[in-house]
Amino acid sequence: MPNVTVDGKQVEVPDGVTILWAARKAGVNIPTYCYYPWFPPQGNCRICLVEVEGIGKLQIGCQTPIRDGMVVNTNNERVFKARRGVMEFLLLHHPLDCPICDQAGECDLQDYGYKYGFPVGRTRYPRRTFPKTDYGEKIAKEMNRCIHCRRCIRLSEDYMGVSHIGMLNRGDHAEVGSYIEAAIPSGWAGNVIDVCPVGALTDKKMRFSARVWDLEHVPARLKESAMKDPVKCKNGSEAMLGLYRGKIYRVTARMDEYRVMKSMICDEARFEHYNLEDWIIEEDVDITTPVKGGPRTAKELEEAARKELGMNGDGEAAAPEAETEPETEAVTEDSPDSGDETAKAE
Amino acid sequence: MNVVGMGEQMALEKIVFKNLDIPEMTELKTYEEHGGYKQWKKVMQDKVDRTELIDTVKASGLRGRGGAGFPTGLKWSFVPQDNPKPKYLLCNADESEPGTFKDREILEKTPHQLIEGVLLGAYAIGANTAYIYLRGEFVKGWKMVEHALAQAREAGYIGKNVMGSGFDVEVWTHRGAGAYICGEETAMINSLEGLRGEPRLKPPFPAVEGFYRSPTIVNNVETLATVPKIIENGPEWYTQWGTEKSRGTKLWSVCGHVERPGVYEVPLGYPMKKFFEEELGGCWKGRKLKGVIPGGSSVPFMLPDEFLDCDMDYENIAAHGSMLGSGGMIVFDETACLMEAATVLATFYAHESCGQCTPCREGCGWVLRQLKDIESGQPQPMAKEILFDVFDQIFGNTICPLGDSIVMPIKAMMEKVPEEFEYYIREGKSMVTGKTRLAHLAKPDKPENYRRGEAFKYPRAEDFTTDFDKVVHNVERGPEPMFTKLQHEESTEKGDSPYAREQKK
Repeated sequence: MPNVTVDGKQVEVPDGVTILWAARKAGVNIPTYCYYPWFPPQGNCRICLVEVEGIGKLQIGCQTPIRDGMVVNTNNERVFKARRGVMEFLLLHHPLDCPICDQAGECDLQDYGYKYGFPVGRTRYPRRTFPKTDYGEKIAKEMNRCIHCRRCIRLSEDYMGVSHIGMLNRGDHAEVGSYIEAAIPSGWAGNVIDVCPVGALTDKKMRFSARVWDLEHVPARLKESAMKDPVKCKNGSEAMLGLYRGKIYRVTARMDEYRVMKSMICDEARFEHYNLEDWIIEEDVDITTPVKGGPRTAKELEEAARKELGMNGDGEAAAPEAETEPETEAVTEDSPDSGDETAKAE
Repeated sequence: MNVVGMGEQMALEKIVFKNLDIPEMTELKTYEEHGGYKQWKKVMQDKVDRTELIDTVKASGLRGRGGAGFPTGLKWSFVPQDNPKPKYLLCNADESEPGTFKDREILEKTPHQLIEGVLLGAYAIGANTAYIYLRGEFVKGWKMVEHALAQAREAGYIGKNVMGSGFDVEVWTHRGAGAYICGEETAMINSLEGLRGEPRLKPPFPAVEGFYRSPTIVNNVETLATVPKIIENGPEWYTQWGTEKSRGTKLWSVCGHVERPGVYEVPLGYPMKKFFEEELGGCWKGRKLKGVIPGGSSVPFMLPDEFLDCDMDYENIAAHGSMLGSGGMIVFDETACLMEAATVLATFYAHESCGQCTPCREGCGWVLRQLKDIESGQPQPMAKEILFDVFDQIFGNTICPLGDSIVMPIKAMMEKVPEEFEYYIREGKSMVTGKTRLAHLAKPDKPENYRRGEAFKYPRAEDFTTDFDKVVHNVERGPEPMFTKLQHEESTEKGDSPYAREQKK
């Protein structure tokens, strides 16, 4: 196992991991925007630049693989200047409307802005703005706040199987958007809200109704009797309720300390059950440990649910896709995940 | 006859690219008369070993002519032959750099020489498919290459089982849609695959995992067009020119304020002074030289002393503070305003930034706006200092070298000829022409002296502590007092603000 020194701390890491991985193991926090463990690294936000001794340029932590004996510095002036440069660039066009932004309080841009940001704006140009686009009833899109990390695009392509959103245009007018202005055609579309590190994609149902720091977050899962579409909700409702004075204000996926989703939740659980009676509150549930076998795509989650519900592909057609996928039996080898057992125990 | 469109006799003769000066070289017949496809025939009929070809190119010391100057033979040898995936050869004809037009000449005038090079390269790395990625604007070049490909296919040089050797090869052209960034090799691969033309992260390098995740070699047009001549005459023939590390000859495209612009083939290591004075005829109309960007717009600007002192090879130009790059020389004489040149360059790069990584996406636009502001006569306070900070924040922090490309020429100009920029900022007009080129962009509703903030000091990067714990503290205190005090002083105590002046009138 290779030995890596991060900020003077020696850690032993498995082969082939990245600097970011090693740093997190050493207890050193490297800021990230575009990095999300669910996707292959894209390296376009450049906030995770670190200094590797022996390499002239700064390297990105999220992609650079470690070598034995590598010495990484994340806490010196050079790295700090680079990060502050990136922060300044990201805030160049950011509207800084945190007081009315629903993401405020759990926003990566806010957090790192406080830590690395330049204390004043050094431009006097008008900020770049984009025309408003409508993403349907559930998702509020505010392109002006976007930092172009592309997590939403990668999530919808890789995990929801829809290529509905993508990058348009080029240079500093590049925009996350779609040619057809419509809701993302997936029963799992709401997850883009959870992967967005800033307030570009927020929950339209919760909009302007509560501040996140007022909410009490409670892990819960949907009652089977309340499910309208069990194929999606069976595995897609291990959620986190945002409660305020006993009322549900929003439902999100469960996230770990790096705000990484544990598993996707379906749109029904996220947007349609604001009644506490529909939910089973789970007291002692492990939120931070990732699901065994890695994150599952929407298709995998649905197929696993069909198997658990005893539905063959051509059986009771609870989901419209079931008719077109007769080979479901062969594919479902997945074991039911741990969240299920806790629910049964209750 | 080195000069495009000019009939003057030159001392330097073309060596590798003799074909450029022969009329009707686009026809297969003419090319074959001048010894064309002889090497390809020989290689196919004798079934020359691949490694032998690679070794010949390696021994010739040929380096990539697209800008980076990586040894071609070495690049070819990186292709893992035990990989079961198909291999690809991509020819990078997406020549979009301002000031560079050498590849266009090859594409339009001697496409067969390029195709022979592509075929030899494809055989050397074991690729059955080669693509020529053409810049979208090269309509004539594309037509010529397609014409030449059709002729070569008909003659049996391309296709299945070429000349009974058992080797299949096919060459396709692909026209870009006008993005400069697609000249970067991984962006080109993305573009060919049908994705957004954006550079990929390296490693993995294309030689291991490129086009459709298969081993891929990307070579410049000039590099590949040189290969047939090297194989024909042997590596010793090619190494007779050039210096120890830069072998052979190089095409230079010269534009700007010179007497005889055009495409020249010059042995590497040729003295720049001799080339500039004898071949190019010196500055246009006998004016004084102000400076040169020697290798296509993305390399550092050179002053006349540095420029005339250097030799025309990779190492020597680098030792003189610039780069050989793609060999696109842009000459400025004394009537050129560098401030204006910098804005034009920045406009190009800000327009061509692909929008993938943060420093380039936001930084290029910022640099452009800053320069435009200076040129409109209403610069921001501390415009120059902030520009240098932005340069530092972009340089070296991006995925591909496009971010560096905006920094290198403009930063070098500002460092080497600072007085012109300072004059423009101070006086609001050009030191050379005496005009404000972008005066129409000035904001008329702003007071005449929009620069009243000159007394105001923006913080520089080094003004702040880099201690993580203290930074948060700094933010809380903030630079607020600086703002209020200065504005207060200006508007009331001195009473010389534009608003106050207007009221007095």
